[in-house]
Amino acid sequence: MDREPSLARRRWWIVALLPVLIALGVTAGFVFGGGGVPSFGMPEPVTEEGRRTHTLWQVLFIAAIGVGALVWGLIAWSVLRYRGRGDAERVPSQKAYNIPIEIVYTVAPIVVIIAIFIGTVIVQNKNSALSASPDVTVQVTGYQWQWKFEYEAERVTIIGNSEPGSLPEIVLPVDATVQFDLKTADVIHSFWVPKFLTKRDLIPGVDNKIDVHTTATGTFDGRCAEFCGINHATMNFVVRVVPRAEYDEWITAQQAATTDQAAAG
Amino acid sequence: MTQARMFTALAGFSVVAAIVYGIISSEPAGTTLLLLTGGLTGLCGAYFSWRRPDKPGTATTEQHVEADAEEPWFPHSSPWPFAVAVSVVLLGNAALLGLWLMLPAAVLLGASVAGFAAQSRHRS
Amino acid sequence: MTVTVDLAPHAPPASGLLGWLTTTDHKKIGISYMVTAFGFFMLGGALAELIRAQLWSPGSTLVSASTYNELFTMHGSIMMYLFIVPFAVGLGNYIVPLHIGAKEMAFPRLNALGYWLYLLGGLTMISGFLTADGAADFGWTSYVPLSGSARTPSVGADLWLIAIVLTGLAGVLASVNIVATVLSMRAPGMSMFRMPIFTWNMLVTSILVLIAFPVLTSASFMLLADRLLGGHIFDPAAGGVPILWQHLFWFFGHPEVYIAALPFFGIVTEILPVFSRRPVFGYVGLVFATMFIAALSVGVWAHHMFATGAVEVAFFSGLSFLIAVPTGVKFFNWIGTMWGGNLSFGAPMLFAIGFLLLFLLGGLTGVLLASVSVDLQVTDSYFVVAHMHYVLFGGSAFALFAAIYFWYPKFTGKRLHEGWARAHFVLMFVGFNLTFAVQHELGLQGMPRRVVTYPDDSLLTNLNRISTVGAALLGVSTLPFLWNVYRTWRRGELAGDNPWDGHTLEWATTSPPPPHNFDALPPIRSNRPVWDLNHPDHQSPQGHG
Repeated sequence: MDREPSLARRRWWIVALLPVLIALGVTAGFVFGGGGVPSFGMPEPVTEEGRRTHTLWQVLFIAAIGVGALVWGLIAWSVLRYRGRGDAERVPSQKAYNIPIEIVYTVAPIVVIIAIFIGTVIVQNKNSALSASPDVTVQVTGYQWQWKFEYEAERVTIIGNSEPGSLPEIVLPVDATVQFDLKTADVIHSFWVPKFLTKRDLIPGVDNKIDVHTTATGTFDGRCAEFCGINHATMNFVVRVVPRAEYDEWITAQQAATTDQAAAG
Repeated sequence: MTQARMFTALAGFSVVAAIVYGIISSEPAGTTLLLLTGGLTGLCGAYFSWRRPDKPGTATTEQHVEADAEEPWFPHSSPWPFAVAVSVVLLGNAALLGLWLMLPAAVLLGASVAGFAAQSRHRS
Repeated sequence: MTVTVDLAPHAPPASGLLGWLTTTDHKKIGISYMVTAFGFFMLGGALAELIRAQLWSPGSTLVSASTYNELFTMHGSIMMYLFIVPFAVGLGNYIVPLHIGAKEMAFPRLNALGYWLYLLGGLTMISGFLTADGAADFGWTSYVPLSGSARTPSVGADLWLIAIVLTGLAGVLASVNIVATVLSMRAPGMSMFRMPIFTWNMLVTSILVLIAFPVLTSASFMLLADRLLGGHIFDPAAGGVPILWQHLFWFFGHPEVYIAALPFFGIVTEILPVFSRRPVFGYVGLVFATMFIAALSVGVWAHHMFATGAVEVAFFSGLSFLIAVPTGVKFFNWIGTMWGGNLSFGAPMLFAIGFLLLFLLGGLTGVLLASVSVDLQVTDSYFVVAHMHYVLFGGSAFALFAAIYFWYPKFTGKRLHEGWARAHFVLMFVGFNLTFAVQHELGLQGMPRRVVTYPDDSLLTNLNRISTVGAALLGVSTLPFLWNVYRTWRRGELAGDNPWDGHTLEWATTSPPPPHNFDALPPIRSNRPVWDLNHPDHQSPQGHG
């Protein structure tokens, strides 16, 4: 090469950083321009654990935008800047290595993933912690293809009926710690409330418990999230989170209904 | 030597992973599988360290045949692979179709393997 | 510099059907593998079109739930076990001996045996559709207890398991052959560090197969013992451990997805230098990155099991994040290969660039999945379906088409038509993204995998419809390709030895090569001997001897 390398060659790192800065700038615009950091598709959580997962998701997604912008930008740059223009026979630079750059792009990702890993471990440890004395404990039993929910202390049982499409509904108090004790009666199922931003499997021989600290009222869909046979798609349920007083009323009503049934039956 | 180093490094990684994983998780299946992986790759690494393949870039295979061939032997065609495959598949499906198929399939397999070996012996 | 050629007289090989049944020529066997695999691809794709058609509307009854479960099980099984890996094996069988200057694979009859076991095993798997209770219907991962005889008594399930054993055996035989060939049959001057990266990747892939496939075979035997011989290995009522199946399956399953990826990384690494008129950038880094990916892939299996609550999540999360590093190195090396080059955009290059753009997205969502808490929301949902298709289709399958366009002249002596190839690329790129991009959001919003239908909600319905339209476009995109192949077979333009100004040894012989591959070999003093021969003023640095 006889002529002076182009601006692109001499300050290649500007070229590399430009798309990253643009992408991050756009994201910052969303954040500070009102509306806060976008959720990037993740549902708004209704539990403390979900809030932590949601924040972790936002951080990871922004990092992914940065990396994606860098790499897609470099690919696009290579394709546009170095596309052949007429002379198909021309032999360009044959340089096959650049040790300093290779070291940089080996080490830099390691630094990034160490940071992501630390964040992951912190969030996961907090989210999987179990309380010794939860406010409500619900025994969840999954079976082909329905759910049974038992409030042990209150002696209330909610069970879906066998029609596909029947939706058992459980009620929980807001601002409380709820512990789900997950068991299966047959094959593997999975307890998933998308608005909780977590799921856990029901596996024979494995005793899974998860805690959620409810933070918002509302009605939320629940699904089975591990393929379990013919009616896997309709093995759904509903979670309704309400103020404490309304929860207590509901419990009382459920207990009365059970007593009535026992008396009548 | 690249060959030996490649397998030995993989073996070393698997064994270290097995130890770390075993201590952290006490989960028997994964620990066993990682150790076995270390064993498999370690076996290959040990072989290549002991019996170095010829100098890099020389093409040979070792053939233990009393014949005078110096060239490695590449059969130009053979019916035995197809015969062995059909026998194995019949044997597998015999598990479902019934024992009445297993015996003929096993006989066919034996005959095919014998044919395979005979072709090697006579280099036809 | 020449290599000795076997001039001993022998009977000409039989022609026609008998010739095909008795061939031991690695080139014919390679073509057989690739054509058969492509046939399975068409079948698996047809099943996918049915899946997407069913998901057009909530509550659709286009297919019954029981048929639907067979559709997604067999779609996944065909694509993973009968298409993507066997295609790579076939391509490796054809190209590896040429790349290293050998005249045949080390074990020609073992090679043929592997192909026949694959074909007959594959037919065994799909023969389930012909049985009264239908094909296997428990997902390509076959989790117990659902796949036990009590919950799935159908014979289709047993046929599936037997087919796994047969095709697994085929894979092991093919891998033994590739390892032996690469380690002991390189031409003079072809040291390990002068081999093309595709061949390096086939070598490492083969070692992974040897590590992973026997584990699946053993697990399948265990499940067959439970199903057919009254065993209780996975029966919790008798003290068995269902989660053991998941450990065994994923110890195979994770290396399996790298087995389905590494050969395709190798393909892209062959195409980019040729169409940039540059050498591979960071050759040594690429070799070590491949080895690191392989090693790490053996240690991350339970990142598929985070939701079980029964695995050591930090260990698997950390190692899974770590795999992003060597993969990133590869990406930067690919960019470095194009950087400063004189790029041309023939069909192979279009598909290689498509690979780079799409695999990147799949890789990024993979890093997101490695974060345990995030994974607990998106695992077993359409987010994972989106991720896997970006890496396996956007990644491997795009590279697969790049390989077909690149090496088709070498296989057949004719060139595929560029215009039809471009139509294929555009339709496939658009159709693919339309199908799978929206699936990330479907998963985040709560749609699980493997569901025959979904709740009547406008967001879910609209996203599913976009995805189904994309799938239809994807189906249509194969038509220009099939037409191109047919039309070229009838009246294609002759290609010559080296239509692309390729760098590696396969371009030093005729198209197609003679039975003994090479009449003469050029001097081998770098990782691109044919470039050196054709461009004496721009020789590669001698070294890595």
